[in-house]
Amino acid sequence: MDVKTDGMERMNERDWIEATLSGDKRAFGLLVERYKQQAYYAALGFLHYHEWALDISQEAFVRAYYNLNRFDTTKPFFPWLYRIIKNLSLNELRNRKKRQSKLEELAFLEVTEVADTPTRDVEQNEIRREVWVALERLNPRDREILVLREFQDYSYQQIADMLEIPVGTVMSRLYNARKALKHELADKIGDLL
Amino acid sequence: MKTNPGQIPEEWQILLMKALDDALSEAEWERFEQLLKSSTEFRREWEELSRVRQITRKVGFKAPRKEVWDMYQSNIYNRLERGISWFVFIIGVLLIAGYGIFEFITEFLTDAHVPLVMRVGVSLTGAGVLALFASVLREKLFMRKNDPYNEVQR
Repeated sequence: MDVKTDGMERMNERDWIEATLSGDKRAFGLLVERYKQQAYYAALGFLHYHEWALDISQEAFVRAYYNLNRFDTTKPFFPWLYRIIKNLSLNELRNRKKRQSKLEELAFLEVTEVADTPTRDVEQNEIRREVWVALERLNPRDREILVLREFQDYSYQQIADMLEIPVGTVMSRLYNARKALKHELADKIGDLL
Repeated sequence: MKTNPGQIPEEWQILLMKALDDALSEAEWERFEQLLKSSTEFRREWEELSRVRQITRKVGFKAPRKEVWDMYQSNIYNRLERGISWFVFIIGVLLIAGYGIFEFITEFLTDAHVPLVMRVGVSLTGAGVLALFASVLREKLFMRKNDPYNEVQR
């Protein structure tokens, strides 16, 4: 697809949606291009496996395409896509029962500091494990908002749009979630710093 | 100022979150510093939450291999095409099957030249094939939902 030939890349998201509704698949391709990484990480936040996250995020785009006529074009696209991803991911999880045992691998996480020595690798694995075990113990609502803020770096406004709650509620929920995480990490905090 | 039992005031919560996420305005920053100096409880909350934030900052989602993105969009187009193809295919099959059944009833079953035993035999064979197909389909769908070895790498 050569998007540069018709100036389509300069159109905004709303134009792309309207062009898609008029039958232009290339316009939908631009939406995919813009949001594919966010969609993948959103699914990964729920599913924790690369293949599942790829599959569900792609399926979410397909569902979005077929239901685009029901989308309110005055609103941003990604929060709507996020809710599709969330619903698909939760359905997927209900159908997968052996998730917990495989989660021990934690292959979907990385420690952002560079590993220098084998000892450092061990420490990094420890950080990954402790943080994720603590997150897994939180209630899904707290975990979701922490993943959106801490792992995906969304702004308060973006989180508010995705969860369909006021910005003030985002901050108080985030406060409660961070307090709950602190409680779960408890005496390990000193070792992990 | 709203406060829940056992919790710090909502204003404090908001200031702490904004400070952790580098989102304080100048006025909020002044209020934040003032609270840090004047309230032991606020200062303790800040220190505790800062340490949690330092830990969560160390962990992130691993980026997939670069090649994954090359195929991402074409996979979506494939799925879209497959969905449309299935829809068209099913409509076609339904039309052909409907016409076939209509012809079968009006032409074959009512044809006095075809022996009765043949008409009954063909009807039973057709019904049997349909019942077998439905049974296998139901079993496959059930297995797909309830397969205990679904996660096992084959």
